[in-house]
Amino acid sequence: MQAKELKCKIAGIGAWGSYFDNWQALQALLAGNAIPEIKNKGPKPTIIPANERRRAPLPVRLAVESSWQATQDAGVEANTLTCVFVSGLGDTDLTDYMCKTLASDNKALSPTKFHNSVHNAPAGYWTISTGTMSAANSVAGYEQSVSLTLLEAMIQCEAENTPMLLTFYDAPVADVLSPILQNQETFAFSLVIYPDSAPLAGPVLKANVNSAPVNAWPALHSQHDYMGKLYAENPSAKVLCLAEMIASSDSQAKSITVPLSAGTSMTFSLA
Amino acid sequence: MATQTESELKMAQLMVEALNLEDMEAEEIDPEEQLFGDGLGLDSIDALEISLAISKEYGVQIKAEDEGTREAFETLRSLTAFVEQNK
Repeated sequence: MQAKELKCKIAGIGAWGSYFDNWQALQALLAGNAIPEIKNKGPKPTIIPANERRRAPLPVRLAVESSWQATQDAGVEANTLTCVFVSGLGDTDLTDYMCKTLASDNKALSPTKFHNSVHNAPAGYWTISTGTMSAANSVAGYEQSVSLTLLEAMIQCEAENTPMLLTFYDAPVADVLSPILQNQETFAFSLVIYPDSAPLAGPVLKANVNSAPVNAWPALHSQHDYMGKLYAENPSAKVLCLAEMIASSDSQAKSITVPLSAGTSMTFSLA
Repeated sequence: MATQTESELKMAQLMVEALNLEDMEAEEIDPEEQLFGDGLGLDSIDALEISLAISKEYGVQIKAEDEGTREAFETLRSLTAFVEQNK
């Protein structure tokens, strides 16, 4: 049986990483511009009230900054969007803290760190900061986080006929977990998507689920070592293959096929 | 601003670290300024974090229901004195 094709329009994009602090800067790197000499410190999204911001760990600040940029780029009120947030790794610094504290004699946990340790903490900070009352999902799918999230958001966008915010974010892994999880790069990327029927300009993203699996993510066109490492090690940065497709100005047919599960894959194309 | 004693400075340093106070040095906390509300602008979650940090650093347990807890949390000076008395 052929699955239904999903379609949406891309209305806004946000991005944040160690060497880019918005979508324009990421596009410049993808186009081959040199990596800046100075590494960015973590973002300080001003949309989060000061008392909450000082409690917000890096994954939260990454997600909120990138989300805010995408809503500004789309020119949409942030609190009107249904959201899907995704991190393949979660906050491993806090996972480490929780495990260490609970294994020690004094097991009292910091209420802030406990509160921040849940996987949907970024969704919580975002919805509180923007006053969003719409649904906000949090997805984790390790190496398949990006494809699962696009599937989830595109289904909601089409089935509910509602604009959506998608935010992909992963922070460097705590030292103690580095033997199993390699990621040492910081990355966040957001999309605001609308149903295909929405009367607005913008590229149309089409997606199909295939019953044949693929094992590997498509190679990036970018030759930067930094981009290659980011793409290989940071689960959320797998979205760079889609970002490259959006950024590319050539008019050739654009299509990529990415892993989705052990038995399936997903093909994305842009029109 | 009133002058901090050595033990008040140590307590201020513990607070700045435990609460991740942005753009604030321990030396800048006035020992007689209100910690909550209009003063330093701390809130109830900060009170829990301070209590936890004090229990780990000084072994002093501060319980929400205890008499004297509200007074202890008024200022850096009262909090430092409370911990000194209960160590």
